[in-house]
Amino acid sequence: MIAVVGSFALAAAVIASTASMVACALAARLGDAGWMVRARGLMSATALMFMVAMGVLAAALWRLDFQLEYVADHADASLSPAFRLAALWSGQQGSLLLWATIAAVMTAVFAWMTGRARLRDWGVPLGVLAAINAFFAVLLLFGADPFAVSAGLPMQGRGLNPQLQHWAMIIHPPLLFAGYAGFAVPFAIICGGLGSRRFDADQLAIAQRWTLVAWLFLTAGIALGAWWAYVELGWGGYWAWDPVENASLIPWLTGTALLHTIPVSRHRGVLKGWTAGLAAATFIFCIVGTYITRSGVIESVHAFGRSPVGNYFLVLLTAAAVFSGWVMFAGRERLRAQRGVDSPLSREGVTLLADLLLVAMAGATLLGTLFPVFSGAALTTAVSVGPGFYNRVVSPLGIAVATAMVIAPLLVYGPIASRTLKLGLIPPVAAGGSAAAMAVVLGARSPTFLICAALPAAVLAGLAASIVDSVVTYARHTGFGISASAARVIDSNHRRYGGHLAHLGVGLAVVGIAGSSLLSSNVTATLEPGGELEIGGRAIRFDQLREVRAGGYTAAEAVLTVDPRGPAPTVIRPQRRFYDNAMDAVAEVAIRTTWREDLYVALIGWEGAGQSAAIQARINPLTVWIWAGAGLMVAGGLFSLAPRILPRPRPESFPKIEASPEASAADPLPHPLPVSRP
Amino acid sequence: MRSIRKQIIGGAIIIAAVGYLAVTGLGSGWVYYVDVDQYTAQTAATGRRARVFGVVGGNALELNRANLSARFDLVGSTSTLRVDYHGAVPELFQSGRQVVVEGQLGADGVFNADVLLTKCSSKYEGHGRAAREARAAESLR
Repeated sequence: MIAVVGSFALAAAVIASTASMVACALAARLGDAGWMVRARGLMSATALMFMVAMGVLAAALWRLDFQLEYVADHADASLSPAFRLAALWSGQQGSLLLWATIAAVMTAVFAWMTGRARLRDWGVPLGVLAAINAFFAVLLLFGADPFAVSAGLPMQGRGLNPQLQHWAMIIHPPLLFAGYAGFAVPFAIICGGLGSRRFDADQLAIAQRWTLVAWLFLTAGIALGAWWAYVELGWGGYWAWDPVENASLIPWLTGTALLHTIPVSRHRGVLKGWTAGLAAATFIFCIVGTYITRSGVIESVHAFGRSPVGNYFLVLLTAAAVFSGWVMFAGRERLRAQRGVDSPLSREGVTLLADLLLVAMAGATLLGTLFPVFSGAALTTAVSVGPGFYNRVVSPLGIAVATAMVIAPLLVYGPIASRTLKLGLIPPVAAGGSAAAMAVVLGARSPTFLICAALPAAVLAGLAASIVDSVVTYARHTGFGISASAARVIDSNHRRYGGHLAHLGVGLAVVGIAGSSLLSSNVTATLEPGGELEIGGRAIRFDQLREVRAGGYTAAEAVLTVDPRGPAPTVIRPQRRFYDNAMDAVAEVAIRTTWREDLYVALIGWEGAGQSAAIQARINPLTVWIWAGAGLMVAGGLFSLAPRILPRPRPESFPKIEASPEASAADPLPHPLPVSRP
Repeated sequence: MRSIRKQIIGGAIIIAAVGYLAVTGLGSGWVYYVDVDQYTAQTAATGRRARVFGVVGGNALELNRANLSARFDLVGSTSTLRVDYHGAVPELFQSGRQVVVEGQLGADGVFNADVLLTKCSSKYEGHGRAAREARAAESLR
């Protein structure tokens, strides 16, 4: 009985994680590194036990061991090996097990990365992570048992929801859960550090890296989820402001704010309260999102249905809120700023502004998501808020935050000279203005769209000007050629240039979102064979409807020709699939992507054996820019994390040493950031 | 302390702006969520845009998938609402199903819906391959 092994592993995880929590507490209390070494071993044991449980569930899915309820509910014989793997996290219990495993592995990695000499100082942060692991172990053992055995013996499974049978769905959930699990680490470092009366630049440096890792996972997860919704759900969009989507967006917003605030606290000694508050809020919002979507308090198309799991998360949520509130209150002296934020036009000033706006976006999204609950309690009838609310509230704030990116390359800690600012703003303003003018020429009129169109150009120009300036200065000082100088300048500060690359990605995503939401058009028509519909100046001809049988489903397929009289007519084939194991028909949309727009065609109905078919066609402008932007955000984040590639330059290796003595003595890199440690 | 005051003033301005956006945004996104009985009982929801849920009645069901329309009775425990829907009709739409419609009451007392969702209580109801293929074939015929 393989299930017994899984349950046994979970029970062992409960014991190991609880023991590691106790060991951390002892280490913190007694100041004894020996207990930390034991705790570290127990943390590895916890991670190992969760991995064993994952392995058991994977094996059961592989062998289609339908005696396990989870396997019977989420797999069948027609599933390919990759989707049997995806079935591991397509359901409630499996996805929680995945989250728990990632969290435990991250805890163990974090514990081993902490040097033995300093382990003692990390008792409380590691204890917090151990407590989270213990929570998950208990939850899985008692609240959401993946190894529950069904009473009867089902002969076949119910299969995987066909809409989840897509490669993006294989990797999207693990990415999201890695993000959620990852944000526990900065929470533990910062709030746990405050709890043990330690809150210093070294800790913040470690917290910063983990925040970036978690942010990367969450960003990639959200983007893939949106992309999956776009290509697979067939309603024409990628974001519906559904509670489950909001649940991932809220921690992403506060996590983004955290990512930008930690370095300010670390280098400048200000906004420490914000850093602590954001670290706590981001972790708590990860839990809130899980609570919302798994407790059944909010109706959602993707929700897991009512279950006791919500109550567990409510307990964790309360514990995290009480703990962080208490440590922030007790450690308020430590959070006091060393100096004020004097100028709004300084790195710290703009970060503060961005924090306020990002938190406002998160708050508005949370309010909208929970509105049915509030209104149901306050009024006699429940009221939900539709996309109109979010578009009205969250979008303008988002554009405001994105605008702040334009001046980011110019900012330094402390007030900026107004002349530097004015000169520095010339390239972005000129580029942004030209981009907006070009958009007008191309036919765009919406003011919101024009602002968004100006954004990526302005960000790119500001970034380019800043790089050119640094490279020219470097080349002049060292005598290296321009390309060698550029490589060295960029390599010398991965964080700075990775960040700017990510900003450029945000700019592209913003213009893509604006284009696809403000400028899209939509035609629905009922066509007989040979009939045509017209959208955005192009004709689409309906040729025939036919039946297609493929692995695990039967599909009705419309054969359509785009531009039938044009120079290059192309055939597209949207389908409606009837999977053998599901009730719903699933739309398989035909999408033709260019850099300017997506042509998105869906088959939505038909009469008889193809006497007529209802076709929905959409033009979604600039949609591919969103995916490109998300890709750049991830690339920028990865570049920030990557170690330096070129050897650190030594002055004697420079082709030319400038005459002035201080230029040769000092590091000639034109660092715009004066690094001052608190 | 000067900077703290500035932060407070700046924060207050942003909070006021967000508050303004939120209040006006609630106005534009506000949708009541009620069942048929509550809706027909002339509550606050009647006359405004609302999401109404109920069961599709068996009588007078006029369905035309290709023409993208459906007219049907939405039935609650005590009352019935006539619905006129325009748009893509979901595959699972049939009499006896729980559905949610979103729209507004017309002057003729018919509810004009532009959103029709079938409540999917049973995503994983397995019915075997044969039944599946039969259904797919039937819908093609």
